[in-house]
Amino acid sequence: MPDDVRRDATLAAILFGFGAVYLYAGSSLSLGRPGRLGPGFVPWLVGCGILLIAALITLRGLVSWRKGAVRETVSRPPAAWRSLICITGAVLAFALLIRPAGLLIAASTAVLACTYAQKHSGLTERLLVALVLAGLAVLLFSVALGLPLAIFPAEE
Amino acid sequence: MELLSNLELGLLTSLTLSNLFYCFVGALLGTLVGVLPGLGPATTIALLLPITFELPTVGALIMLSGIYYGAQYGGSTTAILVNMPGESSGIVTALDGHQMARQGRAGVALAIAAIGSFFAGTVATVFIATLSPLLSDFGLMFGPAENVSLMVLGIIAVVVMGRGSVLNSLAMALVGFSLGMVGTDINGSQSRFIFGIGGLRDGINFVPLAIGLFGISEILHTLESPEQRDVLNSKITSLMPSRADLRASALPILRGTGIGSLLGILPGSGTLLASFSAYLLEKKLSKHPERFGKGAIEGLASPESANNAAAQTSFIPMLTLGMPSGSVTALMIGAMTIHGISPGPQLMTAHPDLFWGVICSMWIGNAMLLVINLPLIGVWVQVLRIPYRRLVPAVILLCCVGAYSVNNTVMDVYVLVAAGAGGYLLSRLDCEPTPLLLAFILGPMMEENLRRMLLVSQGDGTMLLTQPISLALLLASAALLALVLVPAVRRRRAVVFAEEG
Repeated sequence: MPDDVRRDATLAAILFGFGAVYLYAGSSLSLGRPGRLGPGFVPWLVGCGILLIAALITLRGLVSWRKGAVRETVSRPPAAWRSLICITGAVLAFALLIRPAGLLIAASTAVLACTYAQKHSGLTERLLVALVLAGLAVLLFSVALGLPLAIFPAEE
Repeated sequence: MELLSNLELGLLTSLTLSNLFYCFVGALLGTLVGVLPGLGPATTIALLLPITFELPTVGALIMLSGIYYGAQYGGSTTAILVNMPGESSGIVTALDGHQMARQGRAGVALAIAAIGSFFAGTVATVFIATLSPLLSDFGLMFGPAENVSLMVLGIIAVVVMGRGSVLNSLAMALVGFSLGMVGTDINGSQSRFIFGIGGLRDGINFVPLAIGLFGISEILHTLESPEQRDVLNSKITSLMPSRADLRASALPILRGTGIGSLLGILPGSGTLLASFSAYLLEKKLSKHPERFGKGAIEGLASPESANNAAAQTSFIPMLTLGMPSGSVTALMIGAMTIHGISPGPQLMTAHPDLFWGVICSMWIGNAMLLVINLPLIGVWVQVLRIPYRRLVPAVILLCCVGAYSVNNTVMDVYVLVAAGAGGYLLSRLDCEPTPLLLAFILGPMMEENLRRMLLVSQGDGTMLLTQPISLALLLASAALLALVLVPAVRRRRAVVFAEEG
């Protein structure tokens, strides 16, 4: 299957899934009547629109598959899976740690995870970057800007 | 002269010590982040949004505008020095600007870019000040039906004029609408689509969504290709353009400013169309078109001016009609809403100090850029050399703290991660984030107007088609969509956007 057909198929599948869940979740909301729309009317319209576009994208994919013509010939770089996982993990770690552990620990953990988004660094450098950036964050956000962020773990 | 008294009010507002300070900090920070390779103006604004929330409303908007010009200018600096434009319109700048730099004329290129931008900014400011009241008066005639149609036009314009497939962009707009519906319904107290999560009761927060879509997702995009930058190693010596350089770029700057000012007003057009058209025009007018792409100064001066003029006049539809014309103005509208100001035709009469203050600060901001940036070029070159392995963690940390600190809720960080990862995956599927963000902001406003219209017309939906202005706006949207189907336009779109690839 050519690349662009595969992309269309993936996108259409995502949209079908999203649209269906959205319509289902909105099905308990009242549609109202024309003079007085209910909370469910616009979401219903949007959900149907998503399904319609998903169908059109499927159609487009099928057409270009049958034609066998590739819409673009430019080769693109492979997806940055490693970076995606590391950075997602970093942000999640920040979310989980910021309340119980405070900014210093949350920031250094997040930065450390982020440094693994790329190869070619030694552990020392990673730790150093984590500590320096976390320190800067504390100085900038808590001290200089005075944001209400706890620096150290909350005492029980 | 009403215009003069308005400008006086604006100058009085923007020349207060605190507002000058906000403008300066904004321009400086904007340039600093905008210079970073791979980060465009929308990303820069999204990243720096959280720091403006503590400020008074006028100050916040002045600072955000400063960030915007700074980011634009920083983007040009990067385009000239490393041939690695952070934003789409920077690609045109890089064509001849980077060649000039390679020939040892980096200083001249940067100076011409700054002078062109400043001139364009000055003209565009006057343009905004004269045109806005007219459009605003026009906008005051709008009822709910016209508002709905206007927003339809705004979204369709972004879909059609933006890059990428129209069908995919429409899908993104609808996803944006659907996310905008999350939270408590406007009229009643009914919760929609919160799936039992208490943190979503007030809806998805706009700031983490924007930071995720434009910050994290962009970073991931940059990390796809291996890091390679050839920052010029030679020292930048002469900044002053020679008399011949100035003479060669005077007319191109003038033409670029004209093109940019006009194209910037069009909904959805953004700065890429402006700088690309300006470049093509110069090439066509030139007696030696073969010099273009090899360091022709006209090929830098004109698109740079067009770019900056368009960046400013794109504020016209936003300030007068409340209609964003792209990701940057969408972010500005989001910021205004957070400060409790609803953009639209009533803005000028309800908050004249804000309206004119922001307009005048645009000019002041441009002047500041000219003054602060030329001496600071050495610093920007150093910033350009920061390797990704240090830069990326810093930017991600900024995203996290920014998203969290807006409301001090962990929920916002989860929204950030979802928007970042989701936005990246969607961009791998050729889907652009701009229509999504735009529809997310406009969706609730559209729903409210639609409900009001149906209430007034007692359930008669045809009001959208029977009101002349509304009909005209909808016809324009339909025409735009139909235009994409015309083969010649399709090819042209492909050409314009292929330049970015």
